[in-house]
Amino acid sequence: MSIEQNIREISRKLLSDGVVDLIIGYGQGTLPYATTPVFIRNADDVEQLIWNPCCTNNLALYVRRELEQANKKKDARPLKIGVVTKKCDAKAMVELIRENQLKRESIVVIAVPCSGMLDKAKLHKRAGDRELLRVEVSGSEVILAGRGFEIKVNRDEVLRDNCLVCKDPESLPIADEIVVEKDDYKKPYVEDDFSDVKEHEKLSPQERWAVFRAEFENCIRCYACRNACPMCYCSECFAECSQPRWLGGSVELKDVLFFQIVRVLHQAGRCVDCGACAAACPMDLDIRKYTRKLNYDALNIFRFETGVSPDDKPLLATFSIDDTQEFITEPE
Amino acid sequence: MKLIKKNRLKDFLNTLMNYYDVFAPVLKHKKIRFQKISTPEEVILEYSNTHNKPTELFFPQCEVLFEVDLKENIPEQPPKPDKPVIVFGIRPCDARSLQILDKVFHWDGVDDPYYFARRNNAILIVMGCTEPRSTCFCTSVGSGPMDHNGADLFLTELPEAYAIEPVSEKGKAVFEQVNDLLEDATEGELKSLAELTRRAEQMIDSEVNLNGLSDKLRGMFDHPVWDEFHLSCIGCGTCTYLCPTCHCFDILDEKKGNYVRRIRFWDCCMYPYFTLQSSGHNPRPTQKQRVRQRVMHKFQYFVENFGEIACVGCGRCILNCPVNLDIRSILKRLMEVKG
Amino acid sequence: MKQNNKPEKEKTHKANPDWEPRIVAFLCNWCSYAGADLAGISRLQYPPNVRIIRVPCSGRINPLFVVKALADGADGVLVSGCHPGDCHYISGNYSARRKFVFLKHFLDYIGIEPERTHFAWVSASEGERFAKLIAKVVREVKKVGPATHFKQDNCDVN
Repeated sequence: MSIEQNIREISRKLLSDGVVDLIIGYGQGTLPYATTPVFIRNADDVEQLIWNPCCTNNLALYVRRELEQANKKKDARPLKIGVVTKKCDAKAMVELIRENQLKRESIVVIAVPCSGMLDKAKLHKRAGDRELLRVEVSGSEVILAGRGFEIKVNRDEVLRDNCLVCKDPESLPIADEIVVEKDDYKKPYVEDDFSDVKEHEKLSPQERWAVFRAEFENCIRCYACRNACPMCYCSECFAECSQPRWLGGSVELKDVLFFQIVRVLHQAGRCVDCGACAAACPMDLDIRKYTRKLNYDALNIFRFETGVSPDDKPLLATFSIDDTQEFITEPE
Repeated sequence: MKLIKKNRLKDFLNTLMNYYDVFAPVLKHKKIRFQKISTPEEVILEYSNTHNKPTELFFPQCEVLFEVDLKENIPEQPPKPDKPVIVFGIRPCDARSLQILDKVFHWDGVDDPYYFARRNNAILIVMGCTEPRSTCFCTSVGSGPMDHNGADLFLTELPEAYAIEPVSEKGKAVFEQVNDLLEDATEGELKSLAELTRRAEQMIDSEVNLNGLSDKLRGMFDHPVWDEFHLSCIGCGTCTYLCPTCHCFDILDEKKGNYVRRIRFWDCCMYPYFTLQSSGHNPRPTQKQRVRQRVMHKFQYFVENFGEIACVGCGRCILNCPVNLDIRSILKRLMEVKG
Repeated sequence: MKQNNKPEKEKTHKANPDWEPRIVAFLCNWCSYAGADLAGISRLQYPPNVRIIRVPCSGRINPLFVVKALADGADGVLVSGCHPGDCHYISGNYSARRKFVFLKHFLDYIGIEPERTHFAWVSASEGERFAKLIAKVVREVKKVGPATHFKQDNCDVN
């Protein structure tokens, strides 16, 4: 049995036993490197569920949305959702539970042992920006094919960066149903020393701003980063707030950079590093470079990691009397 | 029709740059998009299509309509373009999308001055598509990879040269300007041009039958099929902001100190705030209505208003949707269900 | 498409030695604002570069306010509240402190010099401390000169 069949089997059972009303998982996409989220309410439809190394979207986003919408309806039976969950989805759900956005009892976590997801941008780069018509994964090899070319690449080299630093992707912080099948490929693990962040910090402020500006002045303000992010759930985003209006309508620096700075800052102590923002960005902006700084600070200053346990309070909702003061300006 | 040898293309562009501001596909931050060029070397010729829509040259994401200094109280109009513009290397689908935008910005016989100031100032040198992408479905929406509609000059890449054909009066004038660089085509080259055209059309393997869709959609506003599509949509603006025919905008007055300006900028029907009224009521409260609006606008309302589908089949939305919500799948499903 | 052809009004501090920074100060109502008041009543001299915005508590400060001030043309920002332990609302400044760590480090990381963003504690009785603090902040901001981060020739409306 494959992971995929295992997922289907669990989902079929959950639906036909009436344990859950809805399964959120991944279905076949129309592009060779894409899957699309599917919503299954009927046990007969579980064949739509698939599993492959292109299941990049973070489903926690949909879980929160569906529950919120269901809870708006009065007198409705509380909705229960089964979620096909890889580690980053689980971490996001942990954070959402912590922030009272999800109830643990409303979800059934179908824990899938993930072996890392493929990075769309890396695939395209490896194919020399030629169009990909077929992406085939077998073991530690990925075959990229298009009109008149077929190349084999090492799977390790086309994984997303956040997958490389993901430790123990097979052990999830929350799980109810466990997919016991395993992929025969084992993803490499690179210990996250935040060397990229430290390297960036060595630049001068002018250089750092130049890097930041050169990246984000290309933002088209489509808000895909925000909307793909499981942690961006504000019912009114500051970007759209009209009283007061924080953000102008233009794509000039004062608006795009301001939007990106504040959106990223809102992830302080919350970002689960699932890579959804960067994957969603149609302009391929390196958003993760900046959210990682926040994770680095959380770890470095507060010894805090997101997505570990649903029982603690969020980092910024608590404080300690002994918190760091080194950044405070003293008049003398 | 004449030919321009590939090694003379640089001279061709240089000649054009003497008379015009030339916009062409360039690589800007990992993506190919149209920008004003200062040397022919910047131009990228091997591209299936630009990442961003070229219609942004005519209807930019944000433009100042006027500005006022409150101390002097005199509104200032933005400066008019002083040099005619050539857009070099635009694909037939995108050239067609400009014809669609022309209709929108000429609604009820009134020209939008900002759009047409740029539009009438520009000459389109269209580059035929010899290598369409798998997501291209231009043939399904009444066009094709070698569609001359909307072009002023039409270029087709042959093995060693570009075939160049003037299509409009404007195009003929440019044709004269560069005449020295052109050569006559041989019999064999004419043949290979015809062959290429045929081949390109065959290469479009993604086809959606849209016969009668707009009539069918007219009665489908409340159809249960609309409950299926929006679930995976995250409500971002990727599809609309990359779509060459999407043209919805918002207008805002911005003030800082004594300086006031009115700007017009793209808006997007995928956002809840697009239709939020000041009373707090939102006629499109969920993503279901928003996704339906986008499909209906392109394939029904637009057909009713302007007699044409507002989609050119460029496939940008398919390639870039973060959740792979494919417009072709939606259309196929809509064609399947009983109206 | 560049629209605004207004002449560039900005002068660098090198070109213009008389340049004075504009600094936005968010002061908590209970301590720092009263401290500023005391500095005024006591007729203490301090540089006139700060524009004070009174807020109920330093915990009220959304990092957005600080970024907005910088994006709209402030050369520096100061946030000041009660000393730890003295918050009128018991723990507002403790919560604020956690936020500010991230904010200060993050702005530094993207390239907004740390000399521009300041967080401090000033109590209601510390008029002199307030005057000294402002002097220091102004000194620091002057070191790095006018903020040009968000300026672009077509949106510079200062």
